[in-house]
Amino acid sequence: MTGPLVCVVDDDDAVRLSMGLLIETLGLPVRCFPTALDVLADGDALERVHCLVLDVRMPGLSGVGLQERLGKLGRGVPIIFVSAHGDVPMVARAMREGAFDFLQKPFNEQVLLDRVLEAVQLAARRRQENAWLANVQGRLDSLTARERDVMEGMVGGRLNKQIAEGLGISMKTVEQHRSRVMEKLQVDSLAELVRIVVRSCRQED
Amino acid sequence: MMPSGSTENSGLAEASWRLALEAAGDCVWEWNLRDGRVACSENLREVFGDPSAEGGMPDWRDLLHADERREVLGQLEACLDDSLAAFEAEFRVRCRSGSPRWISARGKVVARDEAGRPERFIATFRDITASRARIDHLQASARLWQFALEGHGDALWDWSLITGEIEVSPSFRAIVGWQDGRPLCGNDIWPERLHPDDLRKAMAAFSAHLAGDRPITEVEFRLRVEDGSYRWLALRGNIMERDVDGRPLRMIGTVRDVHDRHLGIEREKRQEQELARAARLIHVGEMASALAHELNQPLTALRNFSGVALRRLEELGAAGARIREPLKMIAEQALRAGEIVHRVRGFVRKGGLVAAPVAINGVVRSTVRFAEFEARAHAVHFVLELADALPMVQADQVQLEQVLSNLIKNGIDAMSAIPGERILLVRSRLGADGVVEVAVIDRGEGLAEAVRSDPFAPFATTKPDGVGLGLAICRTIIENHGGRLWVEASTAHGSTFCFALPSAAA
Repeated sequence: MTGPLVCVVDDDDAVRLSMGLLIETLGLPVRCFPTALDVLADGDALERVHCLVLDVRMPGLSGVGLQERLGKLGRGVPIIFVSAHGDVPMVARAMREGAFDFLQKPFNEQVLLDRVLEAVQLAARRRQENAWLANVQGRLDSLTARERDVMEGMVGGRLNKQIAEGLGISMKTVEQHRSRVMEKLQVDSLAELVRIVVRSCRQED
Repeated sequence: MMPSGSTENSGLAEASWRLALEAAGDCVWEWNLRDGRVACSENLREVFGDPSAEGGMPDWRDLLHADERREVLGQLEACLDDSLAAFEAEFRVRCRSGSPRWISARGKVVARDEAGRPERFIATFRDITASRARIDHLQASARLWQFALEGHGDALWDWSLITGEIEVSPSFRAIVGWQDGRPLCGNDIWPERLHPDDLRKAMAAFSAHLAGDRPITEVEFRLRVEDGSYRWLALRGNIMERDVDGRPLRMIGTVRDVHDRHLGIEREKRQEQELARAARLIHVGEMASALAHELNQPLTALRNFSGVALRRLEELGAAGARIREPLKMIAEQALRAGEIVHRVRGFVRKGGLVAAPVAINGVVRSTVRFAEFEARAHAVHFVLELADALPMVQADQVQLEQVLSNLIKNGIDAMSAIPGERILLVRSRLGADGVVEVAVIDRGEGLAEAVRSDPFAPFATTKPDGVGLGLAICRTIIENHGGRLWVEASTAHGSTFCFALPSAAA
């Protein structure tokens, strides 16, 4: 099964079941886990998860603990915390670690649904960005050293003549490299080339 | 003392009489008023304190003390005039030995002529200096006691049980507020002025003593004083005199104003009651908080399920119309219950945490120190394994101490029945992800069946008088600090309770 997945983690059986059913009404697939460690053990879930709904307090690894673990794994998944508590230190910490939202039980279920939807959409966008980035990076990596030099000159707005002089090669060679760059990067115009290079640099930041 | 009668009788008995008088220490003085001659017994000199005097016998009338002279001579005259039947006086006389002596004198005119003029007067004198001194001493002693008693704030009373009259000291009058020295009856004071709530107790105390069941009357009561208010007094009394049949005639005693002490006691009692009520309220507050916390879960599930039901209902379209309204009501009531929970928790929250950087090892040491007493009483020993150089935690120290104290107490209780060594180990260390972990490890018999599944649930207890909130509250506190509290292990050989707190840098 593929597609965006929402994972619900709560040690209370009734809460877990009801949250799963509720989120399913959005038409999204949901998988429920009693503890955070169970999530980490499900590789498929970790791959597909677009949103995590976590109880802050759980035996074993806490919700915040899981958040930190996932952060270390490089999984930038939007996390919505639900909690019986709402004390400022805990909320502040969760938000600082990059939580998407923090809801206090019992919450208005429409609010949860709205936020889950937003989180899933955000996650989908991020995945697209990541995929695109990986793609572009792959193509950039496929450039030879010389082609790279030429590309940088192109992006820098220099004329073929200047690039040739700068690299100590002929203009004809520059033109050849130029075509190869456009081909490998699959762009039709200089403007497009500039756009994707700039965008990929920004993403790397 | 002298028999009147025939000369023969006096003659025969005279020697005996003389002996008797001299043996008693009395001396006799005879005054012949016709010729003015005076005769006296041998021991007159002794009685009047001048055994070695040369010359004639002193005339006692010359030796009279200035204070009594007029009175005594007046009485003598009156006796001679027959306006007084007998001469009776006590007076002081000067004597050569030094200090004046007290003399008791009795006398009579024993012969008168036909006209009634006195012919012979006889008097006896006795030295009463010693017994007089004793009386003086007693009086001085009594005055001293009275002074001392009144100085201490005790007032005195002297009650005649036959007539009902009572004599009271000035300080007694001062207590009640009587400005004058009016004569009093016992009844003017008790039961007349007793506070109705103290009446029975006071009367019972008197009765028990008067009936002989108690050695003294000792009772505290409120008395209405002149300004209308009541004052607490402490009374002690004792029967002083009884009649020949043993019935009480006279009672004396003291009364002390103990009003301020009673006020102090009442104030203390009130404070205790208020403290107890406040403690109950805190208890209730914590109960409410724990209850609210636990209600959150089922309420959340309730709202979610009703939300699901309503959304699924949409798919049925018109067919689901009749169910929609009641379902909406369910959802709304669940919402309402949730808001009540929010409000209650906001209401009982006591101003939140007062957080500051805290060194966990310091908290452990001070909490263990406070628990020493309890531990020793149960023959429990502490062992501390505290890691060095632990980072500080941002916490409310008092609340952390509460948690640790609770865990320690549970550990002590858990070992209360085991035969072996009772060691309570408290360990601190740096955990994963920079948390500071503290473990309390006991060698008891492990968690009881009833609470094993969730020892932190509110109202989970096996103690007969326990409410079961300790661990629930501890968990709340630790979680408010961003930490965790859990049972690491619980076997038949002991339990390990742990809590972890994020370090302050995090």
